[in-house]
Amino acid sequence: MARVLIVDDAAFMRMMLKDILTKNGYEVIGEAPNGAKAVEIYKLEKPDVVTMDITMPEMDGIQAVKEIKAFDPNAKIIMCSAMGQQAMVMEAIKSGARDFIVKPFQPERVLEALKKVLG
Amino acid sequence: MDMSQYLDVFLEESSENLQTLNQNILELEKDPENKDIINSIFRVAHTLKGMAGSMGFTDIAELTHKMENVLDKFRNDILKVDSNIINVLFKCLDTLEIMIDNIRDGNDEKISIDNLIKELENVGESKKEQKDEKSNIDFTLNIYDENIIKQAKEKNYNVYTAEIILTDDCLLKSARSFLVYKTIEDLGEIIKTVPSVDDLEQENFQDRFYIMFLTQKNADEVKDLILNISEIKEVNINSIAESSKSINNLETKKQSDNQLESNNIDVDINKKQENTKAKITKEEEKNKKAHQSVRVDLERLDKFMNLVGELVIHRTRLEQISTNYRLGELHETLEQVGRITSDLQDLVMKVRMLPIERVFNRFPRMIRDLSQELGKDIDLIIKGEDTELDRTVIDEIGEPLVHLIRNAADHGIEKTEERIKLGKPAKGTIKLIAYQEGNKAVIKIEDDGKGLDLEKIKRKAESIGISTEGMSENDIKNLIFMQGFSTSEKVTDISGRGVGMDVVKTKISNLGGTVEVVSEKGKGTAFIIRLPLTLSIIQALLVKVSDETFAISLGFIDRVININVNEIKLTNNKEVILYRDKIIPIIRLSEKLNLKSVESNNKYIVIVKTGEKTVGLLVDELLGQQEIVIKPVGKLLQNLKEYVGATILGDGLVTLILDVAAIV
Repeated sequence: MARVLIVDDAAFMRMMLKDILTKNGYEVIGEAPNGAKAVEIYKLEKPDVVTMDITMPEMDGIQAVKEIKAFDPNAKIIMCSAMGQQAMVMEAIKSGARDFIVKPFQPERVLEALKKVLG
Repeated sequence: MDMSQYLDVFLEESSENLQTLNQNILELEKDPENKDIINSIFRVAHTLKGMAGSMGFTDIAELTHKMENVLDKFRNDILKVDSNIINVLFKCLDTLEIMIDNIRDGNDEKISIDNLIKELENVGESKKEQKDEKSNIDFTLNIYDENIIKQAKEKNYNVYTAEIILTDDCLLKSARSFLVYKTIEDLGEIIKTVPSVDDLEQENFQDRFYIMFLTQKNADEVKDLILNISEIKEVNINSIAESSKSINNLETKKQSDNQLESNNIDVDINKKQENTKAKITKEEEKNKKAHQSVRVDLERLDKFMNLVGELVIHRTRLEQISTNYRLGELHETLEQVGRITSDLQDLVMKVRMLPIERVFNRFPRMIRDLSQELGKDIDLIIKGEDTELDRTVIDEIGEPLVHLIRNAADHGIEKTEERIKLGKPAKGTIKLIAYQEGNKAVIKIEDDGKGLDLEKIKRKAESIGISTEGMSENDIKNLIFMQGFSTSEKVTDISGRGVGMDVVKTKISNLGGTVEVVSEKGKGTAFIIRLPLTLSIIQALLVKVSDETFAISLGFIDRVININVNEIKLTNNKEVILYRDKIIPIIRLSEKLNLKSVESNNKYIVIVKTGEKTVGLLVDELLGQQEIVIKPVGKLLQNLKEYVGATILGDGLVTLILDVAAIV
């Protein structure tokens, strides 16, 4: 059972993702409302995969990807992007994100991305 | 016809319609065959077109019309729905939304829809060619590329071309393609992509793209890795044959510019597309540059301005302390701080500034409509539209300008026949000129019409009980700013209700500005509006009346003189002084503000000018000039008309700022 860390500043989004993931046999080991917290939790828990929102207070998703990658070059991070954040997604990919999903989330997309990244 | 009353309804309804369109098109993307959705989209677009058309927003109407054309092709099965068309439709919706937002914000920025319309026409027509693009892609290589391939083969690298097909509903295609690009790049070296990397980044491709690359991995490994990215439908990897003969050599010669081209399509069409593409790309680049900005809530800027204001207050306090205690070292540091705060002030002021273009932009259209309505031939010349003004001023100045320009067109410019009779050019000219003058912005509205009729104004003045005796011509002309003063015999739809001019004046005074009129009979009229560049930090003269200190904005002050109370004379029961052969009425501030007067013969008179009036304010003492921050006085004191606000001085004293326009 893969262990997932969900990062998003909107509690609603975290809840939704958590629902999707737990229903499909993933273990959500933590939730973070911003990049800084995400990095902190990552270092403690070493999850198998992280879903990372891009725009967040304190530390945005891109910076968080950079810091997590610096700590663990093999970290698997999936960006959660909204339409119109193309440039930021690219920035995140350059920084080492493995894939991205686009909001509003469709469960099958989320699961596909996770499965492929973990594959 | 005045449509402004319908504007709110229009804005509300069109936002709703856009929302519906967005939803419907999203549904259509998922269910492309559903005729009901197409019909519903068609209907809403049609409604939007009708509304925009009747409101006179031709751009919106045109764009929706073109959208309808494409939608019509769906309805009649001429065109199949695909992600490309959906993208274009969404782009249209976005543009429409921006246009409507602009209307709502009163922002007259013109959005070019030419490219979008071209795109719409393109998806309607070039559809067929785009369909059989598949697998006929040629990687046209130059000698340099061929060399790389040769060397790579010698070093046991495999050379592959990969065709990557994205899922139909893939979003953010360019980011997706970038992810693929990055994955392949990690495996080896990329030689070429079709379309070019730039086009990939700009999302100028359909559902598929091609990458030619070198790697030591075998084809299946690469394929698996690419398929491990989500939203990839299919990956086809082909090995490039031993010799480069399979690569179209003829093409290489044709295209000396080593540009890649998907050459299955007729070259002509291709060129055309490339052209539009290039244009779009340019446009997008421009957009990108323009978007190098952050939208900030005006409230935050106000807060920022306020904080800078506080900083200025405390700086002045510190300065006071350093002077009081003669602290040389502190003084030096404070000078630095002073410089930085001034820079900060400048900066925040600039941040709040917008070019007056935003207001001016609507006038060419207005003049066009007006000249049609009035049957006059009028030319509008706009100069200095890049002059910048505070956002608040920009928001407020539109209405008075509309009044003045309408007046100029209606009352100023004569009918064409009349102009010809007078020997003037048949075409009337209205000039709208803006420029900066010191710390004021000046806006001039000039027409070459008949000018103000002095006699008419005099008669009107007398009829409402104003004696014009002893008034200079200029003063008489400026009477037109009085309330209820319209000399037009006939009230037209456009102007002349007698509400215009005094409203104009009040509005401008509220902004801390002044307006005056210069006119010569038969030659024309010019209205000159002077506005402060910023509203919250001003230079002021501090005066003492009785025991109280007041601030008077330097903007109003003409000069300050020292007099002996005995010099004040009485005429018509009013106190005046004679100064440089001019009679200047005097207002004793102590009386006006109900303060006890100080027994002393030596007093000062601050001569203030507001628009057409010159008045002397009698004060007891002058304290000096200072930069002050205007703070609103708050709800409790709101009704005190004599003050525009309050400020905090260096010694911590709260001082009221006199509203000169209200006092005189």
